[in-house]
Amino acid sequence: MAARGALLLVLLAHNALAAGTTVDASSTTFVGTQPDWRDGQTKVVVPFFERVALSLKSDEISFVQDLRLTVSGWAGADGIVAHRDTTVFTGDLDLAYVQGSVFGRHLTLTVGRQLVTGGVARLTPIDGARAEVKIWRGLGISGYWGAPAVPRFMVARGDSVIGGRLFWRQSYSTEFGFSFNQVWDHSIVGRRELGLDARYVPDPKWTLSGFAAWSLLESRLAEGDLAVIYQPISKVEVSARYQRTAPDLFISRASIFSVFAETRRDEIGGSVAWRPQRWLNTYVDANSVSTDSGGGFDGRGRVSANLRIPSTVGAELRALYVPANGYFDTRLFGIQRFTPDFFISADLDGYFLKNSVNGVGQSVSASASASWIFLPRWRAVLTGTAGSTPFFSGTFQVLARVVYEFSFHHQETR
Amino acid sequence: MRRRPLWSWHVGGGMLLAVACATLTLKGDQGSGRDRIGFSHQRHANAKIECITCHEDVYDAKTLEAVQLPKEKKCLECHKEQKEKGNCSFCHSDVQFAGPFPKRSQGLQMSHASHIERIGEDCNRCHLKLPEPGQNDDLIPPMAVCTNCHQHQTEYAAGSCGGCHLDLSRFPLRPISDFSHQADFLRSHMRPAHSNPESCYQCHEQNFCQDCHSSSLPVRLELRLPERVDRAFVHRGDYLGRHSIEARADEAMCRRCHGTSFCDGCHMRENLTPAASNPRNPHPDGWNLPGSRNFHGDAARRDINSCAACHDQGANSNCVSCHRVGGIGGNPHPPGWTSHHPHSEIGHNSMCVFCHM
Repeated sequence: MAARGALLLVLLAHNALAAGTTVDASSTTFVGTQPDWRDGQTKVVVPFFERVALSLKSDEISFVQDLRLTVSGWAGADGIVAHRDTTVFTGDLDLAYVQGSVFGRHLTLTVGRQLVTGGVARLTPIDGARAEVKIWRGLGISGYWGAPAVPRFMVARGDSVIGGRLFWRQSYSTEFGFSFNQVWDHSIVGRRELGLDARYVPDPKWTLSGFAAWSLLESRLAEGDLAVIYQPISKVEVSARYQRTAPDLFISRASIFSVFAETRRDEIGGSVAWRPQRWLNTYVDANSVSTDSGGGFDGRGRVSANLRIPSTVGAELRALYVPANGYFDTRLFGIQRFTPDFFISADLDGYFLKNSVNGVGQSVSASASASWIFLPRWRAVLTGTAGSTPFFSGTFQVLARVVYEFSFHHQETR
Repeated sequence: MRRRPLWSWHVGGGMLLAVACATLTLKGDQGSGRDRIGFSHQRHANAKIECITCHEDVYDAKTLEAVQLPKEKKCLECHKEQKEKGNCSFCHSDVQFAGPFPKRSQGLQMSHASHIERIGEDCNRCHLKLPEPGQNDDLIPPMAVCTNCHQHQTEYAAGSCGGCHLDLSRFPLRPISDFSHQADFLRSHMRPAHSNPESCYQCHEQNFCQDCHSSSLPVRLELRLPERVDRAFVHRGDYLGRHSIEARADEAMCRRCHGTSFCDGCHMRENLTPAASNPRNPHPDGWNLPGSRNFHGDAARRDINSCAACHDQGANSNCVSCHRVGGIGGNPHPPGWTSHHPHSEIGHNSMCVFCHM
């Protein structure tokens, strides 16, 4: 298999690597059965996928610091056995970039398929280049240019993109940024935004964060977010937040539907996380949703306990009601560890719909998994799921996964 | 739509389970964790036995992985007579499950070899407490022990934790809550990612982001990590049955990852779109009747993404034929449209031309 071969090459190459080099790699094999509906009929398909991720870092090259090569990709077939005639052999490259810093880490360059983050870039995969310059005392600027990477599902994100961010990084937790992003789509400007972002920790108990993206094409707010986190004691965390989005601005201006969409969605709410004991975690949040066409509610609660056996058990509740429909969800889950290398887990999930979907008002699904490290660096997971849902009166799936991970740290220890 | 029964088994999966169980049985007598060694550090210390007597490999251990707990033969150097008498319970709580000590995860980069001479071989400088029988407390030296000697404000402020910490993910609340992933981190992690991306990259590489955000991999995250029932996932359980509700609750949330063609591809296979080979009409009665509670105009204004999930074919979109200038559908723009979009914009946006010819 090509992927395993690549890993073998890495293993062999490892011997030639200099001290100060770190190699992290993993190979994951998925195989399973699952229902697939094509042309109005349900068939059983057996998807098979192989995923490989590799990261190679070196700090031993004299003029380049933190040299890094990262590659992640997968290949597979999406319907062998049941769809011999229509099986699609496919694959994709998620990441493939080289990164390095020069001038005492004042300039960092990244070239290749990468993720761009920060400010109005949000999380954008691009084929291109990014540069970051640390100017003075936390002040820096970054810029990127490239083509938005179009993955297998053809998520259209435009033809080309350019952007940048000016930032002041006071500490690991406090940073302020001003950013710009423009996307060309079908030969027109599909998106042009200015952004302000901030995270400020005035006191260890308080964290304030905010983000605003201003659409220059529409002269209105595309997205805004304010959040306050307060941790009066180590076991309690309280947060409050407000978020505004303009759903229509998440559709490219190159789509005819962008002229019809709702222009406002507001959400305000808060959460409380409380850890009364080391082994007990609780969490609850509630949010009120307001849109042009009406209001709604989104809330959830969760309690989990890490028992000494050791095992974990927990329960979750969720209620989501919007003008068109809603549901109330309950879920139980548990993990039992028999040895450090072997554990089983299971969950049971059921929800009740406000208005029936496909003539059915509830859905129940359950899963059980066994995870086992059968050799050093090798993990096998076998999972079975069953359920009765609005779209399947009965369904059963089996999924097997084998993961091989290795890591070499040739670093000096302190 | 008709509900479809489906029951199937994957023989290979069953075989894998059988092999797993068989091998587990073979391995079950080693390191099961049910046997505990009733060792008292205090009693040995009172007997003036130095740490090095048992932990001799610590002198050369440059990583935590290299630190091995003493093997049985080390104990037998002094307690051989107990084993000869068959008095297993002298040390073992359940000798039936005796085995090697379980492996410990290496969360830190720490060299005992380079520390032990600097501290004058006084292990108590760092190991403030040592395990005694019946104790279950975590007795790993606290971070304050490290910072007694290693001033690390610069690294801490810069978020450069990799010098010591190989894995920060296991830490819960403050003071490490600055890096906490508890509470509603699934929903809130975009905030530090917006404004503190470099802090994220101190512990996580882009590969880590792609584990969840890769929109190319056809196996969704919940199926890739099904055994992690304790983690918060967006699409857990029967998401298909409730996806339309989630989409209406937060359209932008779907759009962050999924394009229109993602929806359309699935709906086409279900014969729900006009582009399908044998299209079915999924719309309720009164869809084309103005004034009806099911009128499509109100539904479109409320949730245009649902329309776009099937009907976004550019100039061939079926809304164009009725809503173009002079068409029977009338002006579809929301109130206040012209204040933001001057008439001159038509010439700059090819989409406008389809209706404003």
